[in-house]
Amino acid sequence: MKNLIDDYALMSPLRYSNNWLKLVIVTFGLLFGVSSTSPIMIFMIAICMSFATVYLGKIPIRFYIGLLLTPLVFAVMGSIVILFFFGSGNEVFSISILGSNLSVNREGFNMAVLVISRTISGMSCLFFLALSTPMVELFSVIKTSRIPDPLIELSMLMYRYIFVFLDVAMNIKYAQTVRLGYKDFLSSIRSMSMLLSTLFIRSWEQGEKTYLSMNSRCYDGKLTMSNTNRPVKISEVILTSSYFVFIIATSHFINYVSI
Amino acid sequence: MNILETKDLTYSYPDGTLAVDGINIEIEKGKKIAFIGQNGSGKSTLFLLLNGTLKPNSGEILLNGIPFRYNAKSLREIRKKIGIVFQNSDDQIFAPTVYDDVAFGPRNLEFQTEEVRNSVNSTLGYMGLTKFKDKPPHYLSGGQKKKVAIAGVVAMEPDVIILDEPLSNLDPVGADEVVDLLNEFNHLGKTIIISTHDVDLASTWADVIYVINRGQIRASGHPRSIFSDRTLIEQSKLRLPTIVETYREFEARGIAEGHVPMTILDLVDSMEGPITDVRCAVADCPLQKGQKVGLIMREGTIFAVADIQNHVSGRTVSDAAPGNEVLVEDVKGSLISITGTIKVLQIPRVIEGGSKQVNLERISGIMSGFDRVGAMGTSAKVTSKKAGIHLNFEVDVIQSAMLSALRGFNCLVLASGGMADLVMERVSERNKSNNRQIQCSIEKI
Repeated sequence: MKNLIDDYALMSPLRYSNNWLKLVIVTFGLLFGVSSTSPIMIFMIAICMSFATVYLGKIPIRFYIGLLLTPLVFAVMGSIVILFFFGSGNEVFSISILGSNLSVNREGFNMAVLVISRTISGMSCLFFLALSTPMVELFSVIKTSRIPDPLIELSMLMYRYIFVFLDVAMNIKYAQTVRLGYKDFLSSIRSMSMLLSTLFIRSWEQGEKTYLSMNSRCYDGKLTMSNTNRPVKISEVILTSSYFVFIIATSHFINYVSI
Repeated sequence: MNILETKDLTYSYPDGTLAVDGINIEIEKGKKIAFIGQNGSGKSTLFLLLNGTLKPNSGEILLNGIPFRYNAKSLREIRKKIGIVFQNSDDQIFAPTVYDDVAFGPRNLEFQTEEVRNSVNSTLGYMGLTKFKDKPPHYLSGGQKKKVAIAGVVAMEPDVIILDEPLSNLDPVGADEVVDLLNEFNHLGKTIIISTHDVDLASTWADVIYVINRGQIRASGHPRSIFSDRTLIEQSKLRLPTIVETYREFEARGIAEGHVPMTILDLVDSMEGPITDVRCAVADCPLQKGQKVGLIMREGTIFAVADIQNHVSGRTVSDAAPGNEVLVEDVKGSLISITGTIKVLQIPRVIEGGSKQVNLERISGIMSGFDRVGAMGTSAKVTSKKAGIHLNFEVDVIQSAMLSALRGFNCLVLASGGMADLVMERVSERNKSNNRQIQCSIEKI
């Protein structure tokens, strides 16, 4: 329970910033990340977003690095393949394994660096959003888009009761474990199937009970959400626009220099 | 005026179980009602009937003298006037944030946006939940969830609040807080109905108790009359409150006499008459076995001193060093001769400005000269916190203050709004039935 991303998002001071502003920043970062071909610039995005998440969002740095490492492992493995088997151009260096010669080309090398940088910047953008916008904030954003109300209401109820049933499931699992329900493979399967069927029945009952309690508070078929009005602060506008200007200007400068 | 009344109410579930069997109740406005009975006795079903969720097979329910009708419009009116808090808070709290959950009822009553915001914010503030406003409910503890559930109902401003087992699964502090809130609502004129199998709670809290068993009302009345009837309690598969059991044992040994007590204060009062001739005291100086000693009461503890002038006197049973406890026999005279006083400071209620209206320095000035301080009501508690006052009692304040006064302490009680008058009322009520009088005064601040 302690390490859910949503938990950190709820505690983040950035939670109270305008959600659309955050979306704009993230979209900018993502678009720039996939369109730019300069790894330096893309890394710059990653650094800026990570700084915003960790420093402005007060996310523990160890937790954040742990989060980033997971996609990074995949990206590194992919780029090793790219490094050796892709591209043409000048040979940068080569190694020989078991008599066969593996060489790395300039183009392959660039490609590998680009893949890694895009992965990191993309992930850091998404984590910025995920670690600053908890589900409850997201609901009010979704509401202003034109998604049908029943869908939003359902997802609100699901969000709330996921935690209730998570608790129920954990308690049942514990109760089964202390009575040796998971002592071997066969009994694990049996216990797990019992857990799942009980959970299904429980959630059915919970639905009935919740409906009853909603009814006793004059439920008339619609759930209204509070309109979270989060005005954009001047300081946020200045910071965001200077970030955009800085990124665009530097990327032009780098282009200019390399030409 | 009966706010809620039932006539021969009967309900059986589709599977044929007769859950409510010809129940007649009359509930007066502004009272605290407790339904007690074992599990499965029909309490919860009765509550669902009273809220219009279930429709009775026969009989009728009257709200303010008007029979329930089961069309959408009438049901809406009924549910607006009669709020129900379910036993399991998770059944009731369904919204992703505390704010949205509390706002659910007011929105359904089609309050304007501004009204919804005001009513939710004031309810949350009143119940001390403002800091959880934007949190999802799964972050809250059991007691906090229960408070949110209550807030969700209170925000609809009902006249009657029904709570099914309000204290189940709560820790002692959480339970005390909930009881305190219920008393506060009651004081604001709301009728509170609870179900419980906690006889200790029912006996001390309720004005009227209904004993329910197998879908029928076995008895109703003041807690004292209910718990004096041992056969009734046994037949209804309940037990006597600890206080009553204790009293019965004391009575059998000739230590206590009088009415059957419901509270600790009652019990203490019932023991005033006979004084036992053996007392336990703390030695004030080195004492020898068989020495004549005087007994004095200091800060609520009995001390044995060498000086026997003008004191209750006795003889020690053993040697004792200063600070050790010693048994004193052949005690002559009444020990507790000085009764403390109670002073009530009336703090404005939250809607009247609460602690902001209070000159904190003045309170600190008044504080000196009092041995014990208590606070009742939200604004009084906030005020004492702001003034940095250490509170000796926060729950069951009136009784605790009277008990301390009987032990010779001077007590100061900070009370919100009309609760101050309640203190005066309760003290004078007690003074009527007892010859040891407690002086009580009130001051507005």
